[in-house]
Amino acid sequence: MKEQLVLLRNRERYEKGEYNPIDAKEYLACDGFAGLKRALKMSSDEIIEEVKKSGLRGRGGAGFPTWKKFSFCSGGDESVKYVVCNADEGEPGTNKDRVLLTVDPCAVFEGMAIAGKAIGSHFGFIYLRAEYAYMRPALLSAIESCRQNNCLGENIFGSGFDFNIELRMGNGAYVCGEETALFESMEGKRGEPRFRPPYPATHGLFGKPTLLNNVETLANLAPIFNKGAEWYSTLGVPGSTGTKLFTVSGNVNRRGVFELPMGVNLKELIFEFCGGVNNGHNLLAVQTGGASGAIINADQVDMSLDIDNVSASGGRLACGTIMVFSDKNCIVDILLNDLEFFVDESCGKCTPCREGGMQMCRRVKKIAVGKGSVEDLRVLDELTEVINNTALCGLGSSSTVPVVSCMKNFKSAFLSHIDGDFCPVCGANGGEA
Amino acid sequence: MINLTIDGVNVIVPEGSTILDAAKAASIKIPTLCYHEDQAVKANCRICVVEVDGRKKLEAACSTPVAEGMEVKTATPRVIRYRRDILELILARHPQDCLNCHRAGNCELRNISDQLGVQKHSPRFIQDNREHEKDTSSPSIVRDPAKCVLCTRCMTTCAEVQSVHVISKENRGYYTNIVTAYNRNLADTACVNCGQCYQVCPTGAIQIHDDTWKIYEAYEQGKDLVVQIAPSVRINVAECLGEAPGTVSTGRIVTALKRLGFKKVLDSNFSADLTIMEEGTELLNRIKNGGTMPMITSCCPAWIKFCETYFPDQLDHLSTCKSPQQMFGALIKTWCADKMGLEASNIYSVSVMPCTAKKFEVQRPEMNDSGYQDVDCSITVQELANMIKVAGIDFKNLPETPFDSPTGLGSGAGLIFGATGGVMEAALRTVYEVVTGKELTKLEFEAVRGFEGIKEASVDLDGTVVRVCIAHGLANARKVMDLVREGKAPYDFIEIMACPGGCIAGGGNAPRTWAKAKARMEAIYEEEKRLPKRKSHENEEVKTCYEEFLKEPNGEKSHHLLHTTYTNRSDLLGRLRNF
Repeated sequence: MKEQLVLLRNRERYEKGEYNPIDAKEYLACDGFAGLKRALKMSSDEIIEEVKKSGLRGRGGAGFPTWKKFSFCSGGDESVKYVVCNADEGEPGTNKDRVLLTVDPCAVFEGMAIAGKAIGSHFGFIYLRAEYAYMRPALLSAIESCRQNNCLGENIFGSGFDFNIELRMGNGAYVCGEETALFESMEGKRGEPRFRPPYPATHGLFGKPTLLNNVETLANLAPIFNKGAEWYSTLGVPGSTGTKLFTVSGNVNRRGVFELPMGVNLKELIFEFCGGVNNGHNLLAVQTGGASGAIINADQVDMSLDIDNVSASGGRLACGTIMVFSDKNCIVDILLNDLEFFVDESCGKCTPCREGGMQMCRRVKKIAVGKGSVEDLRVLDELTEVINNTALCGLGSSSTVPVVSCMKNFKSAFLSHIDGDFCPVCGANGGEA
Repeated sequence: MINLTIDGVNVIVPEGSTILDAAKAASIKIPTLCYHEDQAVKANCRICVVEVDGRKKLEAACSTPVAEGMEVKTATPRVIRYRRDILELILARHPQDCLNCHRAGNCELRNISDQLGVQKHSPRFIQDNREHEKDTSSPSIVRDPAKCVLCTRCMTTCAEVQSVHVISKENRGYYTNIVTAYNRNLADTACVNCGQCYQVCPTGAIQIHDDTWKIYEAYEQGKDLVVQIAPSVRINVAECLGEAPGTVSTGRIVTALKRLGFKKVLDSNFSADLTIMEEGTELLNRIKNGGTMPMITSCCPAWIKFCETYFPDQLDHLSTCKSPQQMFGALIKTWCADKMGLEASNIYSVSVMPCTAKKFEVQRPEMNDSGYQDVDCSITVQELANMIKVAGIDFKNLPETPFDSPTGLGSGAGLIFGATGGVMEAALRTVYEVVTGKELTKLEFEAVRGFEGIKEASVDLDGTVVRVCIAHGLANARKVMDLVREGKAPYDFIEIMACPGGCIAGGGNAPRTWAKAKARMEAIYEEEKRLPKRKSHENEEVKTCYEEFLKEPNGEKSHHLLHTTYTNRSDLLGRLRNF
């Protein structure tokens, strides 16, 4: 298994200090903005058709076909539209957007401008995670550099098309990665999701049609338009084309952000590419897709990492988070940690997530410390069902994914905690003194 | 029009309707908690979830628009199970002390619990009541955040209808709470005491400050209880006691008050007429002598505090007239006391108001021109209804009793003070006849009536055109005041009422909706037509009062007893900024 560097094509030179990512001239010198130059000559429909041919799907979470999102926003009478780049990378164990924005921010700007041309928008915003505030000066100079080199701003490359990008900071809430909560936050309000419909494609930021895409999705547009959709669609596997940035973390020997073609095998990724579980321990579980992803057991890891396949396992691939746990961890603790995260990050707007999240957390805590009963498992079943089906936004409904998958894939571990059996990792009293 | 099926029933509803609207059309009552018909949809409680054919997850009925051919199921076992779960999740944070809660009778949370039959199931979730202290600092409103269900109706009203933004959310997730800025006491905030948050609260989280005990105490001390009732009270008491909105019960209220031990029951319509005499004269004087224009009404204590807080530089525009409650208060312990043969020092003067802000007004230190506190205690319509209930009075079947004299007569002009535009209409009737010397043939000024947020009209007084403006709801008042501040308000006379709809929809009444407010408004105009006198200056008792006591409007005695001054309260905002 080898990295296939499409998005991170300039990483090596950047790491050696040979490439200055915030200088638009250097990006231009290595074929930068070639995709945009091509897109500027195309009509809106042609651009969307090209994206459709490429088979590109969203890299933020759900893996929604990107061309569809574009087509929802294109057309219409509204003269003001926005392109928003979601750089609120809050999913625990995910660092790909940070790497992309560090190594090649101009590629993201290029993607935004292509998206702007596709939907007829002249304003782009980057919503940057509060924890990435240190990147702000670099991003601002990169934007300025692009403007000075006519890659952004008025009349880009003499095409008559205007596109400006502004930077907006988040304030540290996970929920603001949810698109409508992100809009609320950008509008200066409390970051809480809105109900849908109306959808962002008609009523988004400041009530205007808005196209919101993940950093990685937008970064993919540059190579697609530079080298063509046909070339792009040969990467990866049918249904999940292209390459994917995977953030591998946890108990493996090799951790980091890697760019691999879609459809690689998870088992090979962990045991060959990343050198297996560290300290000679055995694999206990893998969580794909961040805190809201499914937790699978060691017998299930022989799977292809493409969007549909991972969805079928109950998880989500798209943000590319692979968190590996060795058998020196207690699975109930891992789940509890997830739920504590969700309790902390729920915005508190809707009842199921606000109240139900805490109830789930307390039940799991009870089990973790060896005081649980079968009744707790039953209530957890009910809670996950109601929260998943009635929560207002994706944060609430997907907070049940780790619970459901964990209870299914590690049933015996839960039962032994309930029975008061000795837990090999945390001891009979759940690790509590 | 859109065709859809709800629980097998075909319904046709206009485009843009929600599933909740369509369900109503199909005679299905979907339980709701955060939804309020006067407010924008919030969709945060999730109680109203329904199944929509073809969709994996459930949808909130309040926020989901209908679509052609949609098939909705509102009462499958799955839907009911989820609704119960959501309700039980709310109840797991809610104190289980309904017996001690003032909302026991009309609590929406309890009604939903009844509807869903949760009491038949053992609680499955870990009980963890919200622990927050009660805030009793305000003379008008008591906040009990422990009972809050975070529907956000109150903060929506405070922000959008009244534009004062006193309460909003703090913290997030499980620890979300509705608080004042920096968790300060309500009394120390820019809260205008209007009580509109109480009007929309579905539970006991916001209550009216209960002052009825003061009355019982005064009664036991052998004080002479004298009470005045505001114009809109006669429209609203019956509704609080279970009758239809808009049921007029003037005579029954007098009977009930007498049975409750009040020696004299007087009508604030009288002092409303008096207000018109004073305020109308003041307006004419300002026009004649080049006083500060436009002149703005001062009947509404919530509006006054709003103006003192946000527009302290514009206080000169306010009429110096006290509100009818306070004018009456000053007269009850002076002229009326003599006429009624009571000792002023032994009078305990009570007012029944549709208003929570009046409780603040009676405490203002300048309101003691009679030599005593002018009005000792102000209670709301809700509190009076409670007193009637506690006393076991069968209100529905009470005989009628007339008001006591000498101040038991009010004109129709006084009565319509209760609706937005009423003060203006009453003033115009009098000012017209005073200025022109002619009799007004058509008494109804339709242009100043109705629920439009800001109303404008021009009235021709024999060549002199008076331009008037009426605003209700403080967000609307703010718009008008911004114009006044800029010197761009093209008006001579402005009426402002804090509560949307006017006093008939005031904070002290039964919980509001626009539909109820409309019924109350229609009742007030209907009742007005029946009154023998419909102009303030024709009120015989007002004439007597001037002849015997006050001498002339805006005269020396009037100025002493019936007019007041205002205070700059912008420090309430300044303290916020410098905290």
